[in-house]
Amino acid sequence: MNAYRYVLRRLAGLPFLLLGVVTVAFLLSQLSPAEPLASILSERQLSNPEAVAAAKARWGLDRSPVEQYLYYVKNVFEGDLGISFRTKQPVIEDLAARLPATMELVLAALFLGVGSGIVLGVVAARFRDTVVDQLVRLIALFGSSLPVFWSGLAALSIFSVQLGLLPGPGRMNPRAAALDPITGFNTIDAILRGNMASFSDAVTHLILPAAVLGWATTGVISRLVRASMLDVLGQDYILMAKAKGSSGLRILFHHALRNALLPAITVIGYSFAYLLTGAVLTETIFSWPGVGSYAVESARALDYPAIMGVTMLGGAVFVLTNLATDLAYVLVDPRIKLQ
Amino acid sequence: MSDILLDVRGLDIAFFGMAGQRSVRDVSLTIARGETVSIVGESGSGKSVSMRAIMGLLPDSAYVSGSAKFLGQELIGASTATLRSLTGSRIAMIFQDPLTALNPLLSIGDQISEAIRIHNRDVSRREARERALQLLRDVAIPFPEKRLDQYPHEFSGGMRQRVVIAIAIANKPDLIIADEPTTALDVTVQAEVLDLLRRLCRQNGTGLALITHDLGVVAGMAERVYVMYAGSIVEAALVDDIFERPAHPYTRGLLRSLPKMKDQAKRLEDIGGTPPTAASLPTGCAFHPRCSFATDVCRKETPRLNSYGRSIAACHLGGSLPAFEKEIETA
Ligand SMILES: Nc1ncnc2c1ncn2[C@@H]1O[C@H](COP(=O)(O)OP(=O)(O)OP(=O)(O)O)[C@@H](O)[C@H]1O
Ligand code: SF4
Ligand SMILES: [Mg+2]
Repeated sequence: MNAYRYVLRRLAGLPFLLLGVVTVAFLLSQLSPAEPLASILSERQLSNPEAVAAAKARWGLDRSPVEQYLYYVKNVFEGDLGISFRTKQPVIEDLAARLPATMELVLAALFLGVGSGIVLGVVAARFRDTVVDQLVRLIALFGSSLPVFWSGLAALSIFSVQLGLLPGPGRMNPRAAALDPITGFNTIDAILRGNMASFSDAVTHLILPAAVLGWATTGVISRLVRASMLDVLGQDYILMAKAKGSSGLRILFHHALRNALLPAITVIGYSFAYLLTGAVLTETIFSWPGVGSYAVESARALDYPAIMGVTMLGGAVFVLTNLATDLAYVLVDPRIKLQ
Repeated sequence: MSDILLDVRGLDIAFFGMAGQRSVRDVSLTIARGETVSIVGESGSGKSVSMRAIMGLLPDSAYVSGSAKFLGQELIGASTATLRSLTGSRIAMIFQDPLTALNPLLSIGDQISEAIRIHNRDVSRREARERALQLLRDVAIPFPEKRLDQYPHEFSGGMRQRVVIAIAIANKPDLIIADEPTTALDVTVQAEVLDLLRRLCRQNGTGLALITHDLGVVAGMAERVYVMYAGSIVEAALVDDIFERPAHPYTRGLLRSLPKMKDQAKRLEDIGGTPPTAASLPTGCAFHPRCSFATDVCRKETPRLNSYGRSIAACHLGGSLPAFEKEIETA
C-alpha cells in the first residue's frame, strides 16, 4: 500500500478523535464548579446584573449547554477555538505563538533523552553487571523518579546560580536584540539569520530545561535499550555475525542496536507525549513562554476557551505521534507492511 | 603434514558456575583437507560447544583449554584479531536454525556482501554485490537478482539455509563447520540442502565438520565419524565400520534408534534413559546407567580410548562385545 494514501487514511481519523476530546473536555468544564464569569468580570461588575447579562450574551454563556457544545464544535471544525477570556486574543493565535517554544524544548529534550538513553543502554548491556552498569542504573533511577520541579530547581541552583555556567530561566537574554522569527525555533532561526550570538544565547538557555525534562526519558530508554540489547545479543544472528568475523563494534551497532531499537520506537513515541505533559511544569519553572506555561496561566484564570484549546492541541499531537511511530516501524522493519 | 586441516587435542571446556564440572572432556579429533567428518551424539553431548570453542564463539563464561590447530596455527587462546581474520574467511560456520541465523533487518544481499567485504577491504560494494549474486546462483536460489534485495522473512526455511550456506562459502573457506544444518528443515528439504553442501565442499575441496544427532544423515555424507557422549568422544571410526561393526554400546544404541534398523530389529527400543549433564556425571563410564553390558568395573573406572580394528572406542568390554548383528537378532 502506498505511504501517501496510508497517511491520508490515518489522518482521516483525526477529526473523530478531536471530536471525542472536545466532548470530554466540554463535559469536564460543565462539571467543574468554577464560575467562568468570575474570570471575565471584576468583582464589582459581578454584582451588576446588566454587566453580567451582557457578558453572558457576549460569551454565549446564556445558552443551554447543548447549544454551547454544538456551537463550539462547529467553530472548532472551522478552525476557530474561540477567544481567550484572559488574553482576549483568538486561542488559535495564542497557541500558534507559543507552540514553537514548546516544540523546541520538547524536541531538544527528546533528542537529549533518547540519545543519551540509547548510548547508556548500549554501554550498560556491553558492560552488564559491572560498575558501569550499576552507574547507568542509578542515572536511570534518578531520572525516572525525581520530579521535574525538584530537579529543575536543583539544576538552576547549581548550574546557573552557584557555578554560573548557564543562564537562568527564560528563553533568551531579555536585554539582547529580539530575533525575527522564521521557524519560531530560536536556535534554528539564529542559524538561518547567521546570528551566532543569538544562537549561543538560545542554546545555553535551552540546555538546562531540555536536560531536566529529558532526563526521565533517559531513564526509561536506557533501561529498555539495555534489556533489549541483552536479548538481541543472545540471538543466533549475532553469533552468525561473529562467525563471519565482524568486529565487536560492528556487531554492537550494525547488527544488534537496530534490532534492539525496535521495541524502543513505541516508547520514544510515548515519551514524546509524556514530555509534552512534563513541559507544563518545566516551562513554569524555567519561565519558558510555551504552551505549557500558557496552560498553567489559563487554568489559574479559569480561561475555558484556552484550556479547551490546549487540550485539543494535545489530542492532535498524540494522534500525529502515533502515526509517526507506525511509520517509523515501516521504515525500520522490513517485516512490517502498511495496512 | 599440511594434509591435516584441523587438529584438536585434549579439548576441555568448563562453564562458569558449574563447580569445575567440564562440559567437554579431553576431546581429540582431526579433519584432513577436503574431508567430511561427522560428529554425532545426543543433545547436550557437547558437539556445538566443542566446535564453537574452536572458532572462539563461546561466551566469556566458558573456560577452554587444550589445543586446536588449524593448518598448524593454534586457535585456543589466540588473539581476537587472529580469530577474526580466520573465522568467516578460512573457517566458516553454518548454524542449525536458518530462521534465526539471519539478521531480520538486513537484506540478503547485504548479509552476503558483508561476509565478503569484512575479509576483503578492497572489494567495492558493487563488486561484492555481483559476487553475492553469483553465490545465490551457486546455491541454486531461483530468481537471484530479485532475491538479492529481499529480507530473510521473505524466504522459506530451506531457502534461508541456502543463503546461510552462500555466506559460509563466500570466501571459499578451507573448513566449514555445519552445526545440524538440516535439523530445523522439512524432511523433503533436508536431502536437497545436504546434497548442495556435499557438492559445494567437493567442488571447492572444503573440509566439512558435520554435526548431527542423526546417524542416518552421516551415511551419505561423511568419510569418518566421531561419536560423542556426555562431553567425550566414545568412538571414532570410518563410516562403513560405524554401521557394520560399531565398537561402543552407545553407538549401537544410536544405530538401533534409526528407523531402518528399527524395522529390521522388530521395534527394538531406543536407548533408555537420558544422557547425564556435566553436573550429574556418573562415576566410571558415563554411559553405564544406560548400558546393558555394564559391569562393576564400568561403574568404577573411566574407560580409555583403545583401538579395535580400524576404529577406536572407549569401553571396558572393548573387543569382547557380541557381534552387532547377533545382538539384534537375539534381542
Ligand atoms: N553458555 C553455557 N553455559 C553453561 N553451560 C553450557 C553453555 N552452553 C552449553 N553448555 C553446556 O554444554 C553442554 C554441551 O552443550 P552443546 O550445546 O554442545 O550440546 P550439543 O551436543 O550441541 O547438543 P544439541 O544437539 O542439543 O545441539 C550442555 O550440557 C550444556 O549444558
Ligand atoms: S564401559 Fe561398560 S558401561 Fe561403558 S559402554 Fe562399555 S560396557 Fe557399557
Ligand atoms: Mg548443538
